[in-house]
Amino acid sequence: MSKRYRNKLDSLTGAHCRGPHLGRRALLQGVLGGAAMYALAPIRPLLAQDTSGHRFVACFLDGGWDVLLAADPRDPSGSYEGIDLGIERLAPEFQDPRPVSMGGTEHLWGPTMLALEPHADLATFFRGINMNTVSHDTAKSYSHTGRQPAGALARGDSIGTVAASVHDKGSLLPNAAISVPSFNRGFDNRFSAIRMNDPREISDLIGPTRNALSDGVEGLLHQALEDAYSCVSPAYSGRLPEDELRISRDRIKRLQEQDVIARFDFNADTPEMDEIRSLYPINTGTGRSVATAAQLLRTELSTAVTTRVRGGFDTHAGEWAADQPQRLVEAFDAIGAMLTHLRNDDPSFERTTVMVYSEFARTPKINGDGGRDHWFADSVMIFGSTLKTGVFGASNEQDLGLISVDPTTGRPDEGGVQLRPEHVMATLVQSLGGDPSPYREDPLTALIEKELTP
Amino acid sequence: MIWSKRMATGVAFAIVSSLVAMGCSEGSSGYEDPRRIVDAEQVPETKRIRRLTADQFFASLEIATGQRWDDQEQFAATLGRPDFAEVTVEGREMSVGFAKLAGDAARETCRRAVEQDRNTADAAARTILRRIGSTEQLDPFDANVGDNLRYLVLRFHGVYATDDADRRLQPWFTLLQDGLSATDEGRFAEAEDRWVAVCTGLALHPDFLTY
Repeated sequence: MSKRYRNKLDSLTGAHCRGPHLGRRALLQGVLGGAAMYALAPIRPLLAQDTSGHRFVACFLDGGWDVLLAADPRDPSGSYEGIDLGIERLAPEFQDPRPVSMGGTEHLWGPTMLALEPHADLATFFRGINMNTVSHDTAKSYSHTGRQPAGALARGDSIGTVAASVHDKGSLLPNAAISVPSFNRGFDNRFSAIRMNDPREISDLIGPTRNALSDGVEGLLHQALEDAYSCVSPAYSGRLPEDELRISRDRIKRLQEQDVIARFDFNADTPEMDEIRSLYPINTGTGRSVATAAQLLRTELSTAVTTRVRGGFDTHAGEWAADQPQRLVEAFDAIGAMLTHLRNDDPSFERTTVMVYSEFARTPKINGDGGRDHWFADSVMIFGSTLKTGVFGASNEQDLGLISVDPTTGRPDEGGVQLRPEHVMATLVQSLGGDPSPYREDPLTALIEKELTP
Repeated sequence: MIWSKRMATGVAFAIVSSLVAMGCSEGSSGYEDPRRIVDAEQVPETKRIRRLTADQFFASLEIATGQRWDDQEQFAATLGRPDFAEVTVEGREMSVGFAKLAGDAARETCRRAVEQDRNTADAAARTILRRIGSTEQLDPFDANVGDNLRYLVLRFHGVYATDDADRRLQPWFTLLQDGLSATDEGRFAEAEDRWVAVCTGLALHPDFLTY
């Protein structure tokens, strides 16, 4: 009987399903792993994880934001050969950017960012980031991961996944993603995001089991699943599916025992919910998404949350003038509320970092339909304490084009580097205590205020 | 310098260990992995076990239980279905969210399937209780329980179990009969719930959720 036929027969009759075995492959992996750990022992402290329980939120503005109205504005009193500010099309309150002090230096902030101004003491802006694409799908994968995708397919890990892997201390839902995809290519499955299509789904995910059987029968079912074993598992080279499912079942049980669902009932008549309703526009999707993100951190259910704060920024036609600034205001108001909320228990963001980003920017010129199209030179905003406060990088003053900057100062320098998402992520990840090497760009170490290492 | 020395020592250790391990053939150890389907070394990365996609799960559950999960469209994206506008990659994480929603889906469809079976006189038309003699008063110690469990593991997992002593049936026997006896008059009270639980358990088993 051939080996192949015998194996197939075994799989049908169950002759192979008797118990675990330390196979040759596992033995070899263990030996090699042990040798590698021994050889690398001297550099392990550099890879060690922070134990401070640092919290991370990534706020995604979906569709491509107009940075001229946000993080990279221009003084309307100036003249710019390659930029049409479109002032005459904008409502008066959106015509003038505002000077804001960042680290002792004054910088212009877009007129839509009033709600973020109280948090300027925590802000680091990256400007003039080359997204290298004007395709939504490609740029989203790029902006979520900081690594150039293969086509539109993400190659790296979402920044939330990385942050959770560095800082999680055993939370029940280490990494959560609300209305955004999340990628985990290189980390343990427990750091894969729990995904919600809508923030209201949190009640379905952490709430009671629907159509539950009696307690006694549920207990027997739980035990049966513990005792059951998978006959296909031997072909799996990662953690076994039954183990993954067992961990998930245990987490669900603990979530239900903690009855934490009440902390997400934003309509409840409790002091905590009163405060949340006073801070956030809870009757909007924007308000719910950021409030849910904040509560996931405040309840310590999660270490990292990525949320789509709002969509509708892809304003190619005349709706740009009214919708773009209004939607930016709505998003920034909600994010400002979240920053205030999170500062209640961490005033200086010693253990909190918030990132605000979009897949790309919008063209400096207004098109024939009265809107703006897709543009390369993007911005990213970080609120936290691990990076130096201020603005790093720049776009061309005259046309919002891409320019090179000195990697030590962030100021324009023809002999410098053009900022890419890889630079931003490598710098952020290093400051958070993670490994920046997957980004294949040197972190901008001059910008790092402190590194979260033990 | 010290680091280089340690690195060299580690590499040398790895090489020696590899040679030793390669010499440990199954024949020489006298022990053959009893759970192996194929030699793990022969399984390419691209053929690793993967979780069902959202749509595969919905379709599999409907085929296995005969019932459609009412909330499947509501939770499809959360379970990983891409919209090909903003999300282009199938979500396949074996996450807490997947486990919770798969559990909700299995309980709902299994409950309906068992209730429907109890009202179906023609055994061949039943989905879960097909080999059970009478569904009027379900008996966990019915003479056909083993037959029905073998039918169910074949239906849900594609596994042909030849006798009641098969280890893969034992958790389900226990689930049906634990704490009861064949002479206990109270054994009928929870029988329907226990069959629902068996159906649910089979649908939450890794052999159903992965391929």
